[in-house]
Amino acid sequence: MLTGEFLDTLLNLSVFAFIGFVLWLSLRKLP
Amino acid sequence: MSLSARALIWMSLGVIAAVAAWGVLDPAGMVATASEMVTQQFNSRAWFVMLTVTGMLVFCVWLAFSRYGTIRLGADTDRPEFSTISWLTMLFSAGMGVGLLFWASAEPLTHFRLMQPLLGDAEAAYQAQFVTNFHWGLHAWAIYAATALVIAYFTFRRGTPMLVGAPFTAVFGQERWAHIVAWLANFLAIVAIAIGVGGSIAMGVFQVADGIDLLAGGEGAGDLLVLIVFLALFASYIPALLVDLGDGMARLSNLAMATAGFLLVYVIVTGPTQYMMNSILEGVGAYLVEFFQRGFLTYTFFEPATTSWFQDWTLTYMVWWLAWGPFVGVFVARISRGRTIREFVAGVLIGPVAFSLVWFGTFGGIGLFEALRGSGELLALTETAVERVTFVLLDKLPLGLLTTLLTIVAAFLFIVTSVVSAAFVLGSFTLGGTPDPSVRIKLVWGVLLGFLGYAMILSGSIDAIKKVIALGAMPFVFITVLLLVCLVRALGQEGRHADR
Repeated sequence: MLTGEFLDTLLNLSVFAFIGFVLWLSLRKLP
Repeated sequence: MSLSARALIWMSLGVIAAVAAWGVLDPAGMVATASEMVTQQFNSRAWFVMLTVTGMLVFCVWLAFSRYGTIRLGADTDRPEFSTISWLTMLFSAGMGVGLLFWASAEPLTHFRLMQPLLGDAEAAYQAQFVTNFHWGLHAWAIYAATALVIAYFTFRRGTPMLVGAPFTAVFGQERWAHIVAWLANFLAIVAIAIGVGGSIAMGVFQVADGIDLLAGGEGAGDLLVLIVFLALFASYIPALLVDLGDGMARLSNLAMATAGFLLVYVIVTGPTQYMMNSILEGVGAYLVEFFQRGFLTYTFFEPATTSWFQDWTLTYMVWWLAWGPFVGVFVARISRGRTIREFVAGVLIGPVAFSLVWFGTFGGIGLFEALRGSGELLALTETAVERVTFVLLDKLPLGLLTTLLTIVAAFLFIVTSVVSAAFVLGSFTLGGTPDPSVRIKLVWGVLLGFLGYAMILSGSIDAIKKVIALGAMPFVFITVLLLVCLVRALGQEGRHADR
């Protein structure tokens, strides 16, 4: 089986979400 | 005082007190839990940690060469307070301190011992030197530089309080989440600093106790000696928190740094000089060629033993530097007011790294000389009593008694000065960034740091201490990235104002 660990996936998904947040902060227009 | 300010004081004191109490009551349990959690984090997020750290190095270099490079950390009319030489000395002693004396030969030799069976003598020595330089090199200083840059820019140019969370409210102030993240950043910075300094206390106490034991002819410091050294340390820094010593602490730390410098020259002169000079040169060459690519390496395709070595050393170091970031950052920021961003980045990256390369080239070189052409005693010690390596090495050179004593004194000074400044920084952070925290809060932090240090001593080993520090620091990785976003946005605003 090539199925990954649940916790590992979760930890990495949270990193992706964080990177998304960083991109949003960096790119959006500030008032 | 606002509710969130009060929450910050009590939450941070509470969490640190709880960790300390846990470590004192059940040291084995704390280490086992920390170890398991760190392994999970490192397994899953190794790529992100290395990417962040390498990204910080790229960021610093980019910033220095960008049009923002000429912006001053302060008003446009501010000029640096210290000469460049004394600035560099202070930088270095703040960033590395006691670890330098501890790991001088011990780290390259430990890597060599692990790699030698796989790679053979020459290649293992080369890799051992490289990896040590990598751990103490540009990546470490880029972390410090970036954190200090953010703190210095916002404090001296934007006039915010000297707090890790301040950039969030300064840039995104109108938004609710910014206040929450700012609070979290302050909280996590306090936790990371306290746990990092606690670990540093334990490491320093182990080393000083072992040096004294060696002078007394013992075979390894017993629990009683460790306790006595710890109490002596505690008794030395507590009074220093009660009075305003002015720049007395800075002088002591410069004295410790001067001692380290003296030891370096002494070893080069009295040891196998040509061997160490060759070692320095080879180390510099290898470092210059490979440092960038290694910043992306996570040892995925190696056997599990190598991957776990990578976690125990490289990842742990990187997270450790991140944890020290806000503490060193506040200090570095304070001494760097009035420098331009370009000057700042060049100084912080080049000066200390050059010194590190010479330091580890020398001590690694003489350590490897002993391993390859001597008795191999030092190499064996890296497995049984790593805190003893520096002393046994000095003992093999002339006037070993004197240099051992000097090392003990320097190690002691390094810890006292870092605890005193940590109590100051933590006091200031908990009281909203005040430049003049009260004696009471400094004392509270001083005592808590002592407890935490003691808890780490009870955990019994350097490896265990490293796990606890890594766990305390891990959340801060995210905060550091966000701080850089704040800096870029603030610089962008400045550019827009200037263009108008």
